[in-house]
Amino acid sequence: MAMKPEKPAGFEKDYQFRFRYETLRSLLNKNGGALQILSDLEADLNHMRHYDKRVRRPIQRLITESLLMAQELNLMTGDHYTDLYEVIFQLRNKADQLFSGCRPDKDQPFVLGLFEEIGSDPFLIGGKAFGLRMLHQYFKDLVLPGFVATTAAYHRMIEDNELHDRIRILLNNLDVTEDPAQFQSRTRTIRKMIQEAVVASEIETAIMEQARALEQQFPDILWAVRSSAVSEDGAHSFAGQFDSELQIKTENLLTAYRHVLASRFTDRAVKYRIHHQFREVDTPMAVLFMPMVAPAAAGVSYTNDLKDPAAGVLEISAVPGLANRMVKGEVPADTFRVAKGSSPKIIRIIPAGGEAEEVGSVDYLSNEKVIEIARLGMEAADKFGYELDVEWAMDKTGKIYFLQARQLNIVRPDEMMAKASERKDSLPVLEGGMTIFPGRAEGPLKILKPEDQLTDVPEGAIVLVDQPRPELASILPKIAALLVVEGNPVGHLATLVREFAVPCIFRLGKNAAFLLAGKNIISVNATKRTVYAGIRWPGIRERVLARIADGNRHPKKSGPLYDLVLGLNLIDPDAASFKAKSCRSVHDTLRFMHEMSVRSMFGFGDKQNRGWHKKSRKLVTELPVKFQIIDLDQSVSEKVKKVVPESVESIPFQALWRGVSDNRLVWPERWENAMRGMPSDFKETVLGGDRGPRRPSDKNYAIVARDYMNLNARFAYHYAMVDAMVGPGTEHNHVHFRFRGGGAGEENKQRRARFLERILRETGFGVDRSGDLVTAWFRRYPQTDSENALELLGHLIVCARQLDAVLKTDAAIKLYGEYFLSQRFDMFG
Amino acid sequence: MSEQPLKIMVIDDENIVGKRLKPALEKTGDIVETFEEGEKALARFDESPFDIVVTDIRMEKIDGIEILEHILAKSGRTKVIIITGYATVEIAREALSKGAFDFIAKPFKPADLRAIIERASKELRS
Amino acid sequence: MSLLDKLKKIGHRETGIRDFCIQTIRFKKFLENARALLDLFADGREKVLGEYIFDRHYVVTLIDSVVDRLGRMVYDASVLVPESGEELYAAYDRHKLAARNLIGSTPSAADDAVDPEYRLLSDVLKWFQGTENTGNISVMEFMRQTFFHVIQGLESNDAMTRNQALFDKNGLHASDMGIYVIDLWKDALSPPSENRSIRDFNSIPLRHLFMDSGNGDLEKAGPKANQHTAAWVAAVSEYQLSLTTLKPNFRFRLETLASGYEPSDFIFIFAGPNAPLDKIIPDGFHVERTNYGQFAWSLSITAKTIEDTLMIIGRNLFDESVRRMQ
Repeated sequence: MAMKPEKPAGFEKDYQFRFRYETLRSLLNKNGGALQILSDLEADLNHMRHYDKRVRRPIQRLITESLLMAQELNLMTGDHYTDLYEVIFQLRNKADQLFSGCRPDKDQPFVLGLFEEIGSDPFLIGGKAFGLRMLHQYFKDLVLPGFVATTAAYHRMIEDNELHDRIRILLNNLDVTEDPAQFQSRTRTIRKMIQEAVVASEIETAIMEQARALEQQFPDILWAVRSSAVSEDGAHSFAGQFDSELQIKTENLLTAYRHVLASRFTDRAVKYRIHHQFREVDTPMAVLFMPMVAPAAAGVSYTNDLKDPAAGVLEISAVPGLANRMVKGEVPADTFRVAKGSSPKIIRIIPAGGEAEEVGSVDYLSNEKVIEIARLGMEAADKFGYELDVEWAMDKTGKIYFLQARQLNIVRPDEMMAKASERKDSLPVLEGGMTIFPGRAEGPLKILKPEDQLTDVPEGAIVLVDQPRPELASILPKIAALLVVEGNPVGHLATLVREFAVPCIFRLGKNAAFLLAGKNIISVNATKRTVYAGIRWPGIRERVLARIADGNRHPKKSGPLYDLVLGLNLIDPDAASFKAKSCRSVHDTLRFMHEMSVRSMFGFGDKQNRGWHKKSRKLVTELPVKFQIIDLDQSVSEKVKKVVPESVESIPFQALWRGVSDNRLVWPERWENAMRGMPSDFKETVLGGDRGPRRPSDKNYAIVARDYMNLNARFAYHYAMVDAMVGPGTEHNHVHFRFRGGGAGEENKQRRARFLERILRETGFGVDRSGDLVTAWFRRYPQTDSENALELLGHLIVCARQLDAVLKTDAAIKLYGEYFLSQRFDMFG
Repeated sequence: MSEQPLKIMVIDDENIVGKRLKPALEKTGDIVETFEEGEKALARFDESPFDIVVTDIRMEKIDGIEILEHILAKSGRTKVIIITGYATVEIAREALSKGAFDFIAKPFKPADLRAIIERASKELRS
Repeated sequence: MSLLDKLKKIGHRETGIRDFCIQTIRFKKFLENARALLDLFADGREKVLGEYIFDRHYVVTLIDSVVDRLGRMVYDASVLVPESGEELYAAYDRHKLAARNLIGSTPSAADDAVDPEYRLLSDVLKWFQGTENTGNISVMEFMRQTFFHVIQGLESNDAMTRNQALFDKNGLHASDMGIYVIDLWKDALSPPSENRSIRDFNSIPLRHLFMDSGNGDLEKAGPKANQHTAAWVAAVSEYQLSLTTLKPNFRFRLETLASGYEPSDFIFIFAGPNAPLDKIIPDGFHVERTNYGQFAWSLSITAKTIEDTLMIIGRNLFDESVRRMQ
């Protein structure tokens, strides 16, 4: 860096000017810091209680910063926004009230016997264990003893191994990551950390003590080690999300324990939680240890028919031996339909892979036992007060055990009847099977073989698979319908299909793949169990896509802290409601103050605009942009007559300009010749405000200093702001970027914003996107990284002008994102 | 409690690091070898793997992440600790998800690094 | 009216209480920035002692951080005392230049036994703390001058008179003690309608201040209640206390944050040059005496210690022998 001779102090002759600039800088800097705190807070709230001091402290600091920012805004604008004060004082008082009711963490036991008096808190022992306790209350005989390593043990393990921060870092932003390899690598890392974690000796000892005690009762014991997860509401099943470890010897219990805990972070489990908006802190895991029976038969029983609750029929599925492969959909089961009532009677048997019969039996399970299981199930449902999904096993002596019981969810579909005009002349390609979830859907067919990658399944597809593997859960949110050749209606996937409300047919039969081969688009009526080639019902496809989009557009999180701090209500700065008094959260106030401070500086409607014009000089460049440079510390030498970009000795400005002036970028003004004769308004819109500005507010400004730059640019209806401090140090280097696109329809604005968000995240920015406003920050990186970030912003600002023309579909976002990141700027021409 | 001494490798192209770390870490009886060049360090590692590798993340000739990947491919049980010149979450994320055990940011005291090494060695032994 | 004039007119409208609270919070911020600056010096000093492993990047970052933090202090000062702003920024710009020179320079005195990073760091520390060369003032000295300006502004006779009028007008007088009490976050919204008692305030530092005086009897603790006016002001929040006097001949100001979870808990005290500081504060403070007043502070301090210290200070302040000097 060239050293200039020392200048006399006070090159800022106008102190008022200096003070105003310093006020703006102070405010913008606080704003950037605040957005970072907000972003960290969101990640932390996923893992921490709101009264945790690691949450409380930043919130109080945030509000104090906001208050000082409000003072600064009012200093800049001559007390134009004093309403803000009241808003902020109120927010602080509300926050204080929230924190005053906090819950201390009592000492919780790490390991508990399943039936112990004190172990009745579902948050401590998890849903599975809790269900078993309830069963044991009414049916002491039916439930095997066991013990639970509680959620307290889980938390202790996380703390001891300092996993908390590492897991949070790795899970952060996974909900917006679209790179499957990255997703998998991160979850894999977490699993490895847990599997290698050290378990506190107290926990180890307690587990082994309980195990040895049960060994007395069950000689040659083999264990089932299963997850018992916590969820706030009972409506979510977590079916098949975690791994169970079966037939474990006592000496391997701890390894199995770690393995089950690690399964909390399988891809599908993480995706499930993300999709259902579960916070990590609300869903810790306990682990259930139970002795295994050597079953002669096992299976699942639904105490009521899901498709026709009024029919008074229950269903029992059975396999010889262990049931675990059955629930995973790997092995077909025999199904018994039993009429309920005081004398239950088997009315139908559907053998695995065979035709339904009215009479018959299987060799591993007598019909009397089936009735016994039915009766016990009915009794249990009666005692519980709701219908049940029960996992049962029968040992070699014929004794029945219940291994798990949970509430049966009868989800009401929103479309029971197939309406719409059907073309009577075409016949279905396929008919039959079992409805797992009703409804109609239409979309491209994807036949998924076991070796295929789930990530290759396109959005809105109708997927055909052989077996209902639980891993398929990860694609449920994005497909139109699911067709399964074989499969049990009572396995994990069936449960999940109902939860995700995806139209679905099981047991289509082995011919399905053959009959559907070569078809591109198919239509499915899961209610009537028919599949047609081609498009059958107009309008269905849009509805399907809307359902998928709705499901994937994350609904606003809620809770007192979200509303008070994180939620953003002030979306549209041009709306009449964009006022200080409309701010309801801290985020709102930050947004408001940032917007107003920038407007104030650049005279967008503010009468206090003083002094900027006098001090600015025009930037001379061949590029079709107009900028006024405001030089704070003689970054442009007084001797310079024409201010060309090279003469501006500001590190951030140079970096940004490198991006903007990159000759690979395409400027539509190069078509200027072709445009001659076009109306000037058209040129203005298409070419982006190249006509000379008529008002000061149309000018683009760049305030520069040696290590600082604040740039505001308007072009067409878009508006971009870059605020950057870049020097040889690191600690307070920052690059802040704001973009708001006007014009165009709502869809276009969204796409534009999503495109920007994607690019910025990929390159390491923290991003906040609300509506069509994108705010991004890149803080505390060394000089080179910060300069590269600015260069990228230069490219981005120029390409952004073309976004409306190229982002015609949602798929284009990903495509053009890749073009941009591989510097294919010609595609933005 | 007598335990096997650890074999520790330190890689950093800044002379001051190896110079100060070696005596500090050897105090506990562990065996420490220091390298200023990544290539040489990896060649030595290929000869005979180390228990712990401490490496800078950004060096002029070779990237710390490359070193990390090479080492883990060669020896799955080696614990790799990353030294960064500044701590950012992105670096932590990248390093952790590629399999680093932990990271430490300059400036640090050798004692701080030793605490991380102790944690790593506990896992090695368990 | 220029915005600077507006700044000077704090308190002349009903928004006076609000502005007073904001000013108190701004002063806290000023102290926080000053403290951060001291921490940076301490950090550098610690590193240069020899045990640490660091690189040139660390030193450059340290310099940048000092410039940044100093700038924030100067900004806060220019908001608190607008009339000193221009002078302060001029001095600040000189320091910015010095910093730039340090970064661009080669380290002094070629001494091969010492690593270049360490040499640069010790040059930086000289800039922080001062050299024998009378031409340059150190950053520390500049900090002192900034404090001087700020305290002068806050403690000026004008300011005190204005505040007194403000508090009287808004009924912030405690009913049971000769002190005005203000809740920093509540009173700005709407002044109280009824009389207030010390007991009504959920402020840990405030409670501790009076815990040990008056032999445990709150009635006897603290300054004597006077029907018309009071000579003390306490602006509080749950963990903060800002205590000042309104007496021209006894200048005393105490600022503290005692949250128990903030790493930046502290006590800061300013007293007039003739105040019997020794009789008021216990040992353990860092004290500096200047012509215009005495400064004392304690930074690496636990909340518990702050609470104990406040009890001692309260007892001493409102003890008869000290009272007579007030």
